[in-house]
Amino acid sequence: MDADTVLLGKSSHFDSLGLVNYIVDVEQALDDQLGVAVTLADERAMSQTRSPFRTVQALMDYIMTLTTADNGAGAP
Amino acid sequence: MLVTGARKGIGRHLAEHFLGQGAVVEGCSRGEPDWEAESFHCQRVDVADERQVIDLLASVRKRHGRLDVLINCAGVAVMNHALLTPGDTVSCIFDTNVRGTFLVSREAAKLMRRGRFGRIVSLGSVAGPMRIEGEAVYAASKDAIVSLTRSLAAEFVQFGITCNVVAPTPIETDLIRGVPKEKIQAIVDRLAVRRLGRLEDVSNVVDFFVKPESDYITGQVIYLGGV
Repeated sequence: MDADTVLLGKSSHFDSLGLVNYIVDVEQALDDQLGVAVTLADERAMSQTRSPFRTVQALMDYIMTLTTADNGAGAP
Repeated sequence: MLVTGARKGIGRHLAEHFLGQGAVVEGCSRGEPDWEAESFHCQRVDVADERQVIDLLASVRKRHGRLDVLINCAGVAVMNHALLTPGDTVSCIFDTNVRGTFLVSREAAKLMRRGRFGRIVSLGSVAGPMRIEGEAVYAASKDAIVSLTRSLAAEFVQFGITCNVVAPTPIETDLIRGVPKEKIQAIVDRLAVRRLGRLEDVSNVVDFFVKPESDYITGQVIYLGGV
């Protein structure tokens, strides 16, 4: 996997269950390794015009948005 | 294992029951428990509060790295005629009984999937199938737990997790302490087995659901008392 790996759609690296597992793994890794508690698949993520789950890079960008913005999105 | 509502009643009984079998038991309740035991750790958590539930399971993950069994016991019951039941009471009952069961099950399943094994047992009630007057909202919330369990069973089976419900008859706990004796007797008279439930009746069924051999039993409800 790299930053361009597609997570969502026909050319996704994962099937639907694999993507669920991946998102939960990322959430738990953020909490375990960085002490950052975020909920990735929330209303905000689902309402984005461009899904934050389309590629690894898009997801990384979304996580940065969540963890750097002063929006109470789950920073510890 | 994790037992919600472990401070008293059925939750406390199940926590003590599994401690007696040598399990390490994590508990939670809104109030401070007035009992303690070796291998038992209890946190103050409102299961309807998503942040608190996430933090609870994160703490279990960090301290134990795994979770095998979840027993959803946390529940509230307010019994009143439907015409005298305020909307806030409806919200309160559904928040704890349904939203709480969902939130804890969701976070528990995230942890259980790591080991590809899990047992989730939630507490239902005979109030729904028995159409007990004065328990409309409570019964609806418990029937919602049944529906929730059946759907979660289908979704979680891929992770080796089973989800089932044990639905007790009235048992001598705080939950029914305020209910008139005649009303409880009227319910007992409608059961096939005409006696009040016992805490051991519940743990007997939970024992069955959580056995490793019960991996082919999921999405099921066992009503006690012959309902």
